[in-house]
Amino acid sequence: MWLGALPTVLVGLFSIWAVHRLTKGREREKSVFEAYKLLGEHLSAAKDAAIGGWGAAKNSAERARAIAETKWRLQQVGAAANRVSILSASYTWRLAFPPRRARKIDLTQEMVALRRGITIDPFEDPTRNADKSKAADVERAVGEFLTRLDLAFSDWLQ
Amino acid sequence: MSNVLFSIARDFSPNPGPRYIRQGANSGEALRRKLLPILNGASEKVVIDLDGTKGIGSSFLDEAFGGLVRSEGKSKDDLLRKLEFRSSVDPSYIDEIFDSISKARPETAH
Repeated sequence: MWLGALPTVLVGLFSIWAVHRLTKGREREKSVFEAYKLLGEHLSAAKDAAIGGWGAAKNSAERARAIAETKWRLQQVGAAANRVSILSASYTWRLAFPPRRARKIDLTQEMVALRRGITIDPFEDPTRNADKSKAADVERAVGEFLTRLDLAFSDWLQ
Repeated sequence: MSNVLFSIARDFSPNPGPRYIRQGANSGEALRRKLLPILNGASEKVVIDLDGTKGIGSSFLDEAFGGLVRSEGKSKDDLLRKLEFRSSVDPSYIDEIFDSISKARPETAH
């Protein structure tokens, strides 16, 4: 009698496992999306600070403040990108070498390019004049980062 | 034998500055000069902790670490063997440093 009930028990256990896995996956997607949104907010603040830093007058308090804020905001972008990477990491097993394959949104190289694009010399040189034309370079660096971020995020979702 | 730990925020400054000493306080050049005797004197690994600062610019990182090859004549292999970097906040700093070291060329004396 007990053995006769076994298939029903197994189907029940499988259903519980499947629902648990689905819920966990959705929760993870949600937390990655939240971190992705936060990254975008930090990026926008970093862009504004950097444009202010490039455009501020030589020896002004505004320039010193904007440069410090740019570096601080970029570090927040880097921290958010790291969080996205950690939250999105998952591992799958396969019949190949290496058997365990990591899948995550890795933005390390994009972050290096972004920081270089924004804080490149002579950003912090106190002898340089204000250069509002650099706003276009900052916009370009941020735009490239956003494009790579969106691509990495949509790849990860698939 | 234990590693030598050097925290940029604690042992140098929580506000890393520009590239050169002439450009302002807490420059990458100043950090390089502070690190040099530590690197020369340590027989074990020197672990650089990058966390705890208020943000680090690219030119600072390049001058502090790429400058060890360019201006101090350190070999890349020696540096990569002897230096270890840590950052749980923004690991991209580490990639940027390795990139600066690998692209640096020793400056020739004139």
